[in-house]
Amino acid sequence: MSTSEAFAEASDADLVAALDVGGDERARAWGQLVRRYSPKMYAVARSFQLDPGTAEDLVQTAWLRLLERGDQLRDASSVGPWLAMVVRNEARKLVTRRRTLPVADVFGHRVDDARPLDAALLALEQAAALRTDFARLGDECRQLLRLATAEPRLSYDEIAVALGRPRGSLGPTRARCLERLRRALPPGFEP
Amino acid sequence: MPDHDDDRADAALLFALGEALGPDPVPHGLIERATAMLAFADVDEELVTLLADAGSDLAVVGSRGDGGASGPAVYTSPDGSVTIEAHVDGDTLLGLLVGSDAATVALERPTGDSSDAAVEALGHFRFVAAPRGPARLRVRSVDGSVCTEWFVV
Repeated sequence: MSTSEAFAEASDADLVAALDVGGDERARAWGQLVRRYSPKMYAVARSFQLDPGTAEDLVQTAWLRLLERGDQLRDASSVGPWLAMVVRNEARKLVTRRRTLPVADVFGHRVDDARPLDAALLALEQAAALRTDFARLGDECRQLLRLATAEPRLSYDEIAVALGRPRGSLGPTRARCLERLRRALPPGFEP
Repeated sequence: MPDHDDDRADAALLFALGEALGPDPVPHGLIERATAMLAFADVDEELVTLLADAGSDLAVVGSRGDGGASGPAVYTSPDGSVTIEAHVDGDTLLGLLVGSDAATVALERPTGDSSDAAVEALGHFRFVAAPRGPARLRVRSVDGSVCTEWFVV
């Protein structure tokens, strides 16, 4: 197994510990953490309806915080939720401050589909209906469902921290939001 | 088993929603830019006192604290001797420096870029047309250097 493969499988706690070692090992551990968590942190930032550039600013700021304030991370295995919380805190400050931020366009998505025309049209209609009704949900449901559909998948702890909610409330809230979405969909809709 | 059916229907709807909303990949180059920040941090070996933002309580992961979402951020040194207040209004960063006789405050970027603002008699300073992005404030004086946490302009 090469060194980079070993790092790809290393635990969060091992990677965070390696940041204190210095030299090449520090650089490799850093690169692995950045690859592992940046997409999740970006999804958290975007769930606050921030544009891509602002979302990246939040991701980069959270990484800088880890470099300077890693000592605040009491449990190295919780680095994912810790980073999600930094992104959340900074996102909320920004949302309060910039009232006219460019908002992400939830409709700007093209479906690339090779199915026969009728089926493809139906799929397009259904996807359009889903997006429309999703956009009409409240902020809380939109944020939760955004995070629940993000790729790569966020852990329950990461979603809970991003929402500022207790972990145990996620399941019931998710079910309530999906029910609200289902009721808004046109009759005969079958996912 | 209605509960089981509900779970399956929820999972199917969630999957369909994910497909409908489409992927939202990170911007091109984000990973590389984040990776490169380590080099900047390693260059930055000057001994500084970090001023903590009283509004953030990152040590308590999972708390419901509101993270100081409104009002100016207030950064204070561990011994309470130096305080920097920062408030972003549009593209202007307004600040107040207390407890230091420094003549200027620097606004630093992770790229190493830095710009200075003069500190007025009562401690006020301002950066006009500050570009967006991660930044921090640094104050240098004969007593040493103090620095805020990174924040987003």
